[in-house]
Amino acid sequence: MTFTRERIQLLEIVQPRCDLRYGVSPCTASGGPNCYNCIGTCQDLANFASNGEIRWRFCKPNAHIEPYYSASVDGNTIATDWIPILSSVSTSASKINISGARKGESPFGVTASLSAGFIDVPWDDRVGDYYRGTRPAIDPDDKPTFWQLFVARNPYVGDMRAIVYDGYVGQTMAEMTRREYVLTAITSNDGQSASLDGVDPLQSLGDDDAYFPRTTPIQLYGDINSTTTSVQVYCVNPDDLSDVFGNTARKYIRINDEIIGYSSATETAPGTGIYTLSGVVRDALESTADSHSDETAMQRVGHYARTMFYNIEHDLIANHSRVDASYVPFADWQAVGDEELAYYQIEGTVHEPTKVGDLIGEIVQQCEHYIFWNERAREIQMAAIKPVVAPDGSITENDIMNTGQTLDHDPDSIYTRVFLYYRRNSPTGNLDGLANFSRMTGFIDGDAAQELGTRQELSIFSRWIRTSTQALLSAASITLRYSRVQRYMNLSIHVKDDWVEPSDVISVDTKLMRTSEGVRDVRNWQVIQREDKEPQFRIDLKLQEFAYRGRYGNWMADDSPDYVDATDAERAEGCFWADNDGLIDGEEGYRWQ
Amino acid sequence: MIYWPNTLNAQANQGVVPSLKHSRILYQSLASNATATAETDGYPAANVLKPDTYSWWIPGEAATITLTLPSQSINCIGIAAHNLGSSGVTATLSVGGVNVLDDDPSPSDDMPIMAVFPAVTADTVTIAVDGACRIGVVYVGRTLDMIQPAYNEHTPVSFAARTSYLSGESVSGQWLGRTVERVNRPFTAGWSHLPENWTYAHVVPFLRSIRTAPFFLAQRPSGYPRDVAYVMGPNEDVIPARMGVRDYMEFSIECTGHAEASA
Repeated sequence: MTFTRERIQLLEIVQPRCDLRYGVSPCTASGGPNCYNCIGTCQDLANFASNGEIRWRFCKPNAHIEPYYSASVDGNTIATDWIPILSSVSTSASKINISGARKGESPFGVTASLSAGFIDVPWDDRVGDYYRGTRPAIDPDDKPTFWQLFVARNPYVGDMRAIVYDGYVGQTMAEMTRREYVLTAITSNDGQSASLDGVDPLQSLGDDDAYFPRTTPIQLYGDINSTTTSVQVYCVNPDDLSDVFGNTARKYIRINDEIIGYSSATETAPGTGIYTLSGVVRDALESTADSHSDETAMQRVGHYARTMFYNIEHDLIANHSRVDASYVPFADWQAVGDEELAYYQIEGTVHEPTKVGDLIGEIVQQCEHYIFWNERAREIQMAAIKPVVAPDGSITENDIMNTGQTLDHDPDSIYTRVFLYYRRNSPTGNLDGLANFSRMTGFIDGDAAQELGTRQELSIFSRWIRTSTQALLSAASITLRYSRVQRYMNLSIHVKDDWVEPSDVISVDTKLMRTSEGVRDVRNWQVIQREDKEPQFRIDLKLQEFAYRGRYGNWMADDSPDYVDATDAERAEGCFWADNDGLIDGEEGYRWQ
Repeated sequence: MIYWPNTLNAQANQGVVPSLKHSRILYQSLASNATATAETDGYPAANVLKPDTYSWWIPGEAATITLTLPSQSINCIGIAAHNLGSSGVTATLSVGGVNVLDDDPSPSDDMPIMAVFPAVTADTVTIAVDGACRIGVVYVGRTLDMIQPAYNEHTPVSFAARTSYLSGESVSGQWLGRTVERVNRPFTAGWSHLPENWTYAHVVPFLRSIRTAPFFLAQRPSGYPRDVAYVMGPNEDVIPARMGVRDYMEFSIECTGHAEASA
């Protein structure tokens, strides 16, 4: 690695563009002014086709600039040169909430964000305007600026992405580190400056337009009793009856406390809005059939039959949120689930519109894993919550920068006992009441309670968990991780240690950690936040002590030695049967993970 | 780098033009059109008419660019935001079809270029390059020839690079690496003992111009031919002041020179 390098930072806005031409079929726009191939200026929204894109690229005013313009032959995909009007870039990295147990934070932790500032300059539409030659002349003494035009043409930016590039002079853009965000706002400030804000995709899971199932304004048409199977409903939007909410062929709809299943809906006569349900099943999903009156409100119900947890999360993200499904490395999710969490086949009913973020948050908390946005990988990644035998790497005081280290404690997020309630008595009952659950399993760490002198309890009410094994493993996972005071370390490393990624478990040798005898205590820590504080120079890490009560190991090969004959390394990484007293040669036995 | 033919030396010696120890400033950009024998998609010849430094004419091969202007007297061509030096390209500069320099410049770096020559009336200027390169800005016009030399104590623009540094050191004292980030080339240019009438006639139009567009400056051509900058003026008006000595005036400009790619 070269000792000294000149760094460079770029910001790119990826804007979808329509690949049609104004007034040319199928575009039916007419009358002018010609559009700018963006949705904000489209005069035929029904035919807007966002098959093209333009990448607006910006750099700092004094940056080493190289030509980077490119355009497809058809002119529908364009990337501009770097425009030197970027004045500042500030990012906040995502922070993982292991087990969703840290109080005051969502199960997704803290989502990443981006704020960028720009200077504003007069702009002549030199790029990307197909109809530039037909535009009226601009008064040279009253030229519009870049951001004034951008904001006027794009009042909505939610379909755009921002990518921050960090690299060195001499690198191509493809070689640079990239961090990606979804835009939330661009503001033009009086023609002198502008600002841009972005967030990571997980933020949108809590938005008001990400509900599962969505609100469906449907009414019962005509009275029915508890055995009626000829059911008609009034519905304005037929999609509310036909859209899939879950993974079953049978669809479900709730009326009062009953859930009715059906296979399809047919309009009695065109334009009436009255639909007859076919394949009706009363008291579906273990609900209770009852009589219902004409015009009673009805709501579609979401239901997932038994399946791996990642299938549900993927469906919620891909089909019921605005998150771009390409952000989900689903094969990786399947690998995590199948190799480390294979016992979490779950099922559940969502009887009322619920935020997608809340549903996924329930699943991550209850199924021993977590998901987070990795802005460099530009993926929503998944990791299992489990002990590790060997860390992913180590850092010492030769690597820790002299910018200050701190060690914090969080005495609030301790759980010495976790109880998980499951098997709802009624699929339409509240989730936060003991009375609606028929089963409960708990895990108690009595040693921790004695050590801490307190009992800290967490109760989880689950619509997803079905078996006592799942409940026990889920409760144990949280307890074993959080049954001691959580310690957090903040330190900085140089970009030479760029290999450290969020969720990595690393060994840290620092004088901040001491045993009771004053000797340095080298421990494992999990990276819950990685902040590129000074891009291409300094990385700030927030670490959570990676402490599990117990001794863990891995299944060994058939020809492995017995414990008495094993080396220290084999004893550290392997797993051996303990005696009936739970000890092995007088030492602590291994826990199954 | 600033270039000039021997005929200009003769004019300076004869007093036809100010000494070449005095600054030459090109703030006019009189060309109204530009065409070229070769252009790369997205990088047309017309880009050289814009004063910004992030758009270029890129021919992709040996080529000639022709700038046209209303027929008038001109004596200088300025070229900035180029990579002729790092591309190893030789440029032939012609006005009205006649080469204006004794030797075609083969710049050794990518610093701004000024070519000054005895005034000639013309309506075309051509720049022929013998290889692939890029040129961002071309000015064509008459120079403001200062009748007094610049202050003696000034930082040569070629030395004025300002860089920010981040040096990493570990807790245990290990050197981890250094990151640099270029800033710009700040410097101050000033002149004094300028007659007031002359100042009104020549300096004031220049100071009005720099409110809206950059300019080329060669502070001391014959002494420091490498000392050429393409300059963005300050974010406030420059106001000449009376010195209190006879009718002399003085002014100075806080300048920011464009840092070429290889700075």
